[in-house]
Amino acid sequence: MPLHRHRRAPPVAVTDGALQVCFALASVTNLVTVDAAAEPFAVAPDDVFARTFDDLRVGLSHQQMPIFKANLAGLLPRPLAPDVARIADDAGLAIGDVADFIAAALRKTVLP
Amino acid sequence: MTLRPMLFALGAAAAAFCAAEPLSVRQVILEPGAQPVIQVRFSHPLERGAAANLDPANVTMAPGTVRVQRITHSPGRTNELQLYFTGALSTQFVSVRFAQLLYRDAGAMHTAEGVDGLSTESAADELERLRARVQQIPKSSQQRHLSASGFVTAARGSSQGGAELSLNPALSTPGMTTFLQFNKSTQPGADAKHFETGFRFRQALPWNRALLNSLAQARSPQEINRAVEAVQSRLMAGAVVDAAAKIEVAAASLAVSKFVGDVGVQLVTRTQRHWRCYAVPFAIEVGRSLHADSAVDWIARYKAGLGATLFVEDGSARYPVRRAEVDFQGVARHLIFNETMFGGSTAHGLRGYGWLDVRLYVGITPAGRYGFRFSLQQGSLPPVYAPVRSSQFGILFGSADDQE
Repeated sequence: MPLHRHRRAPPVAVTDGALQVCFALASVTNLVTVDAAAEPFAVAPDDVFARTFDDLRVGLSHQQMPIFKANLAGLLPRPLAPDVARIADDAGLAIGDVADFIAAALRKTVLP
Repeated sequence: MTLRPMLFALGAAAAAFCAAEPLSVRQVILEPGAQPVIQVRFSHPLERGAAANLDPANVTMAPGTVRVQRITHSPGRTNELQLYFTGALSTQFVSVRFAQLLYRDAGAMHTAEGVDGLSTESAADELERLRARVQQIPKSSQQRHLSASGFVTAARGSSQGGAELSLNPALSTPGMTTFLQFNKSTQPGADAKHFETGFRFRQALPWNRALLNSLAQARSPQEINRAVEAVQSRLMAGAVVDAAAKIEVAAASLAVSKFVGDVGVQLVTRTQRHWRCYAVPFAIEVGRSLHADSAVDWIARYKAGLGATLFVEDGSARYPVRRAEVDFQGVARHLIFNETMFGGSTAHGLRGYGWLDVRLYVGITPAGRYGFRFSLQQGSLPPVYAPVRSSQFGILFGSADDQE
């Protein structure tokens, strides 16, 4: 068997971070679900980035925000960890603002 | 004026009132990477099933060296399209023009023609603007309710007001915040006389780290979905270690003030379909009285607490109550040394404080949500442990100012 047949595919690349934000949300609340097999990926609620973390359809509390941030930092490239840590522990934040911030930080810090 | 011109004028006014706001482009973002993409964010949600919105021939771009190859809706955003393109793009400033777009406004579908957008912000400016936005403290949902209703409620024969404020501006050190908590009421039996301010360091300890690592290392969408499913089957989200240094003051009178250090562990569940919960099994508070002539010197307390939220939503809109939420929070403190009590005496032993909040939403609309709120507080809080026993009932209106 040729050697290259044993090689596994590389991990799914981080692009704009939107998928990772959705994963981190899904890791803290069952009210948000993600389907990575769809192209582009599908998330429910489908307007999740227009909602806040404490939205009725997202269901995060202030107490869960530090866990969300720690999970998000673990899913993103390491140089972004300080930026993620500085996100406010407030569930009143708009999820879209956090996703935009992560995308902008990735553009500046990591991506070519 | 005769009847016909009046009806005509009324009809014109109604038509003007109901007319859709024109669709505009809010932001054009160039997303670099292995597969570069241009994200175009609009002022309104786009019609999901409209083939014209996803037709590459519908879009022209400048500079002309690039050509749109494929268009998709952005995941999680109903008001955004992703444009995949071919050709080299030497600048981050691009302009796009959509010949026609179908969008939704006030529940109806509308058509917009000749919609233009231009990326105008540099990457560095955008990052600074967004950093300021995610570090600032917006109004929490509870504060939105308070600001809307004023929390002025009829309670046990009298109609008076109460307020709880909590400000948490972030400091530049990650995990470090300052806070100010104020619990004051003019209603007899509802005034906890509680005021504390200080700074807090918080460290999260996620409990599903191995599963998240497998998610980060997943090599196919199917592996990712399996990892997400595994994480979502877990009950606990993690633990949070809190360390704070604060000053406790008897609100309004300033007669009693204490400097207190506070260390505790909080266990947090994941949000399940109808509930979420947290518990503080262990916390200690140690400090000193700041009054030289006080009969109380050292302060030591053991603290434990529990909080839970239950929620049920009627998605079918068959019942008058569209959503019901019940919040409960309780904390118990064991005072190891004597502390100053309300009225001037000193005492030690067990002191508890509990808070129950029931919210019934009878209307949930894009403009906001409204309903009724009933809350019950009982117990006592430091620094003076004024006895609280009150119930409040009020109208609830949460504005939708958090929506895009």
